[in-house]
Amino acid sequence: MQINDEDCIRYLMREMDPSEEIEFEREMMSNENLLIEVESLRSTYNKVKKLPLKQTPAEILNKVKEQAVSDQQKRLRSSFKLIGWFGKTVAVAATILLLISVSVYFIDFGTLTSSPAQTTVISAGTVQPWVDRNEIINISDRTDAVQAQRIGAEYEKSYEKLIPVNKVDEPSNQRQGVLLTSSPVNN
Amino acid sequence: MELLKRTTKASYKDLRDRDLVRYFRKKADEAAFNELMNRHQAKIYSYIYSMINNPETANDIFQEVFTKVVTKMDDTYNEQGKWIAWVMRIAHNATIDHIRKQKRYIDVNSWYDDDDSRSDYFDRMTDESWVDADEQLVEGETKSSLMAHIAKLPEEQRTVVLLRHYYEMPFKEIAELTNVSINTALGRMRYALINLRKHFEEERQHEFKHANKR
Repeated sequence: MQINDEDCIRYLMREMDPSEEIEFEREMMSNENLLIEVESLRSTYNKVKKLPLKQTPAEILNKVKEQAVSDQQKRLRSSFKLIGWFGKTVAVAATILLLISVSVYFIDFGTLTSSPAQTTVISAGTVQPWVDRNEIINISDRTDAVQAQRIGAEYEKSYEKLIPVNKVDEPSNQRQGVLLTSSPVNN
Repeated sequence: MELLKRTTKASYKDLRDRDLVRYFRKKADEAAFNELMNRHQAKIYSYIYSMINNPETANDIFQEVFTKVVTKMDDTYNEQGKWIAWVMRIAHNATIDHIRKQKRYIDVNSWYDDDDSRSDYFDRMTDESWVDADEQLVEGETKSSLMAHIAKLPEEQRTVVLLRHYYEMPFKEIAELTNVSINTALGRMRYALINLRKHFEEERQHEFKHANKR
């Protein structure tokens, strides 16, 4: 075992593991100088152990006790006040937030329920129909079935506004520019 | 009522430091704080006193330490740790701060040259083991010279000796408290004992010379 100077103190102060202690004692038995060193330190340390305990003067002790209790009471009172103030602030803030949320909800709900027609028009306007190879306008795969049916019905209705041209040789200024481009509807 | 008081007093004595501290923190419980003080005041005061060697200054530092203890308890004391170790850290820092501030102006060892101050220290010392007056005198002289020798030690060595003696602090904790390695703390203890041995030897030779002159 390699002995350091600090090991003597660790041994004296009982800060060694039991196995280290045994090793150290074995070393002491074989090394007289180490034994003398340890015993000399032990003898001095035994004198140090006689250092007296000093009692705090009574007046200082009482002063400290009174001061500590009074300070702690003050701290507790101020922390209770702080908690009360904080609690009230949180309650007021929560109420305001709740009122704002409820009003926003009712305003939104009122807007949605008051104009359904407008909503449908807007949504219908966003549908992009496409024309297939047979020149048929298709919208069914661009929107949901109900809306597709409604838009289809509107197209159907729009055909009714068309007036067939019976007399081709009588040009009419009014109808001259009208050109029917859609394919006939399959009935 | 008296019985209730006695029971409460007994139960406070049975409580651990941690529980007493909790009572004091939550309810500013005076009895809990008194019990803590009864347990530890002498060790804390002895440490400060032995480091400073001046009764008035030791009193001031002791009060300052407990003002800090109450102020910092809610913020820096962790209930998992030992309360006394935490208080000890505050006491040590306050003492060292004071010594460093005063180092230029006061010779810390000069107090031991003053016999009146020395008797004042032992006037307040309580030790029930002292039986008769002669024994008390011899014991007093021995303790007095021991204190004088410890006061002569360099501050770092004195700190380690006193922390170990009054708090039975492990060297790992002493090292942490004084910001050095464990080996340095152990080394300081070793040098302190070697220096003390030298002082005791000088004292013995001095006494021997005096005896021969008579």
